[in-house]
This record gives sequence, structure tokens and C-alpha cells, in this order.
Amino acid sequence: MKNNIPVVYWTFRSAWTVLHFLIVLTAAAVLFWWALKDGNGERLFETAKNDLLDLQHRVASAIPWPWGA
Amino acid sequence: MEELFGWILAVMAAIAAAFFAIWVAVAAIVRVFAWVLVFWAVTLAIGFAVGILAGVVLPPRVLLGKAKEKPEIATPDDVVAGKVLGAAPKGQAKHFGWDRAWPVYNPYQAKRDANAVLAQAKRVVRSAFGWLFDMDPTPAWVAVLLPAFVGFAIGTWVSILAWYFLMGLLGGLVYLILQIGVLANRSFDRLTRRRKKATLRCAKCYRVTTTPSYRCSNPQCSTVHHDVRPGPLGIVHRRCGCGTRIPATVGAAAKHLVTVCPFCLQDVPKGSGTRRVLPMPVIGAVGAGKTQFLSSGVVELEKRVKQLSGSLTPISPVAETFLKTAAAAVSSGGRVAKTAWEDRPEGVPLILSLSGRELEVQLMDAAGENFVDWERSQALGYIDTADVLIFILDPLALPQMTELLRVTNKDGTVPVAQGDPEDSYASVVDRLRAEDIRLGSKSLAIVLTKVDVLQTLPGAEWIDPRDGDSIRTWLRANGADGFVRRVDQDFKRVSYFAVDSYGKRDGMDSLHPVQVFDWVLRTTDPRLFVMPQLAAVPAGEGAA
Repeated sequence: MKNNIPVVYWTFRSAWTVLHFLIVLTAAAVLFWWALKDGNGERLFETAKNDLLDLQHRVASAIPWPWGA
Repeated sequence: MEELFGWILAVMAAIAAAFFAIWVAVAAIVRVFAWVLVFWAVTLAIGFAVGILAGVVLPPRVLLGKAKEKPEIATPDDVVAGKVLGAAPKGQAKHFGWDRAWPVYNPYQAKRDANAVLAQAKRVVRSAFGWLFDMDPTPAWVAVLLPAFVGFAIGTWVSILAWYFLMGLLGGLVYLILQIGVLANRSFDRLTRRRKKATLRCAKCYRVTTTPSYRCSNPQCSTVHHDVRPGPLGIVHRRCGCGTRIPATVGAAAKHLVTVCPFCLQDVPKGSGTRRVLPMPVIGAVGAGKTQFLSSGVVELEKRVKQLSGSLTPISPVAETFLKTAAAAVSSGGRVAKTAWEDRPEGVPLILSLSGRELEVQLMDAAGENFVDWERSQALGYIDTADVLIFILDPLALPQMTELLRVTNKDGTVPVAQGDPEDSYASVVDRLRAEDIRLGSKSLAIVLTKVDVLQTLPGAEWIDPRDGDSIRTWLRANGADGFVRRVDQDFKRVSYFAVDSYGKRDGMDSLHPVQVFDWVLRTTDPRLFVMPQLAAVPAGEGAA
């Protein structure tokens, strides 16, 4: 018993935690590998950035300056 | 007129200037808002990423007890209260409810842990928004940081729900594997005992079960575990409510724990429930010679078993006393004392180890007063479940023999059984019939005692104790014809024996009670015997 709970409970919880981190690390590694492969990450970032700046531009130019109209 | 025109021009110029200023302002605001939108999108993404990371860290913190939200614990008391495993187990144990023990982690505690993780996620997100809405001035803070917090909430829940479902999936897989383990271990335990025909027959309350109860091995703990078989409380071991680890199979528990009768909660000999039990109920009138027969027979049985490299060991204080008293009576050539009348006499359990087999022999010796009528024999429940019955008949109590004793002036020299022998037989058999207990599956031994005295009377010389038919014929010829016919109708398998339980007689002598013990052993298991050949020939076949 540990903290009035069977040790096997803590063992399961620790195993669960280790497994959880392993899954997260694996997922992160896969994501990182995919991002590096063929410049996927860079392309994704560039696309997102361009889309965002495009949106910014569209919103900004929705109302032109009086002298530019 | 000119003045009015001037005013109009001034007003129009003012309106145009105002319109121009508003336009410029709105255009400027829109441009600023466009960048605010970019800021919101970036902070939403950052908040989402932070939420994902929080969702990764949060479950371990809860599981390790470092978060504010503590998992509810599935305690043994909750198990007993039916809050963890349901109201009651299935099968025989349903009458006792769940034992006071810790449930296995998966899925019972795992579910509670997972729910605590969800509760902690809710608490974290709620407290984050609580912090934001407590800032002053609230509208400004909300306008700037709300997307970041929304991103954080979405990220946290995405991460936590992914964890929840993934762990649920893995937990389900682990649960399936554990269930296979439960099934395998449970089947192995059950089949091992079934192969041995193992049961627990309580020598005190006479009830029979295949699932004994066990006391926790912790001397300070009073918990009795009624169903230790593999299940939701443990697969190989279980953890008692006091924290002590105990085995989770009947076979293993019997080796390490004190066995308890689940019906009367009395301690029973170690290992009960893991070996076959052979009850030897002896029926007969007062003074028929039941105890003398058992004493003489069991002492010789012990001797013969030892000669065959086996052993006969008493496993209860009552059995030790009985064996010692019997040995003393046989060696001194004296008579054993009459059995005191008890409503429910305790059996005499002995472990017989012979030819690599182990059998628990239970000598069930009730006083003759128990066989006076139905009501009295009703308490002797062991008769109902026994496969072999031994009816002790004092031939001197037959009216014709009693008269011969008187004529030959031998009455008073030997104690004669009281009452009609058939009445004691009827007190048991009529009750069994009335209770619809199948007699056809039972074997009956009719044992004539005091044959040494009988053979001194005229007309009894032609009883051959090695021939059951001659005993049966003698009974029919000497006033017990109706009794023999009745026995033939009641039982399919009947054997007749003639014994002399009193005095020292060689075990190979066909009059020795050990011949009956040998028959009982052979009837139970043909590979178990202590005599080189059968002493009696079965008679009365197929009359039922």
C-alpha cells in the first residue's frame, strides 16, 4: 500500500503516464518529420501566413482612403 | 442674400469636412482592425498550442495526485456497498455480497481517474476565463486576450479528449486481456478441483460447497472472503481491505489461508475444498454397535494404510480425540463409551493418503437416539448428500434372536440394541423418500454386528461373513424378511456384511469391520482399497 492505495494502482497510473508521454512524443516526432519532409512545414507556415496577410489586406482595403477612391 | 449663401456654403463645407474626417477615421480603424485580426489569429494559435501542451501535462499531474482535482478512490467499503461492482456478484456468492477487497485497477479505478482528469480540465479552463474576466478594465483585456483564451480552451479540450478516448481504447484492450486471464485462471482452478471431485463438506453444519470462504491472513483483520476465485477483485492475487495480499484461487488460498465454512462461518480443516470428501454416515439404533464398529475399523484402517505406505491423519481436535480413544479401546480390548446424544454431532475428518491419492474421510457417528424418528434424523443433513450409507444392524435385537438369547441364558451378557432395527432404518430412509432425495444413486451397506455372540446361538452357524448372500438369506430366515425386501426396493446397490467389532481380531479376518471400510473406499474410487480382495459379495441387485 502507498498513500492508503494499493501499489498496483500507482503502477498502473505510472504506466499510463509513461504510455501517454510515449504517444505524445511519437505524435510530435511524426508531425516534426512530416514538417521537415519536402518542406511541408515551411509550406504550411507560408500558406497560413499568406492567407492571414491576405485576409488582413482584404479587410484593410475594404474601405479605401478618401483620396484613393 | 449673399450672407445666406455664405452660410449655406459654410454648412456644406462643414458637412463635407465632417464626412471626410469620418471616412478617414473609419478607413484608419479598419486598417488597425485588420492588424488586430492578425493579432487575434496569432494569439488564438498560440493559445491553442499552449492548451495542447496543458492537456499533455494535466493527466499525469492528476494521476500522480499533484493536481487540485483528486480522483475518487474505489475503496473496499465502496465495493461492499455495491457502488463499484454492482449490487452483488453472480452465482453462489450473491448471498454474501462483494468481499471487502480492493477492485482491480482497470476498469474500476481507471474510470474514476479518467473522470478526475476531465474534472481537472474543466477546472483549469474555467479558472483561466475567471482570471481574464476579473481583470480591470475587463472589456479591454477581453478584447485583447479573449481569442488566446478561447484557443487555450479549445487546445486543452482537444488534447484531453484525445487522451480520454485513446486511453479508453487502450483501457478496453487491457480489460479484454485481463478478462481472458480471469477466464483462464478461473477455469484452471475450477477444472483442477472438478477433476479431483473436490468439495467442502462442513463436519459441523453438514452443508456442501465447492467455493469455500477464507479468513484474511492478517491476524488483525476479521474479513472473511467468500469468493476468492479470479474476478473483479483480483486475477492471481487480491488485496484485502486491510491491505494484505491473498491468493485469488481456491487452490492457492487453501494452502495459505484458514478455510471457513461459508454457511456456518466455522473454521474447517486446512485444505478443505481442494480434495474429495467421503462421508461415512453410520445409521443404527441405540446400542447397535456403531461407535464400536467405527473405532475398530478406523484403527485397523490406519494400520493397513501405513503398511501400504500411506497415511491416515486426523485433521481436527475431534478426530484426534476419536482416533486416540479408538486406539486405546482396541489395544485394551475394552468397549468404547456410548456416543452422547447431540442434535448435530460433529464429524470426524481424517485425511487418507493412499496410492498417490488424497481423500478426506468423514466418519459421521450420531447417537442411536437420532434415529428414533423422522424429526430427529432430520438434523443429520450429511445423510442427504452422502453417496454411501452404512446401516448397523444388531441381529440380537431381532425378536427371534432375543428369544434364543433368553432360552440359552445369554441375555444380559451382551448389550442388545434398543427397539426395532427397522425403525431406525425407516427414520432415515422414509425421510429421504419424503424429501424426494434419490436413493438409487446411493450405495448401502447392511452391517450385522456382534456376530461373535450370534454365532454361539443355534441356527446362526451358517452365516458366512465372506458371502453377502448368506447374510441376506440368514436375515430373511430370521424374522427380517420384510426388512430385506424393503431394502431391495429402496436401494439399487446393497452389500451385506457381518462383523465383530469387539476384541482383537486380525485385519484379514472377514469379520473385521475394516472390510466394510475397504468396501466404502472401493465404492468411492475403485483404485482405492486396503484389502487384497473384496470381502463381501453384493446382493439384492436391481430390486428397486
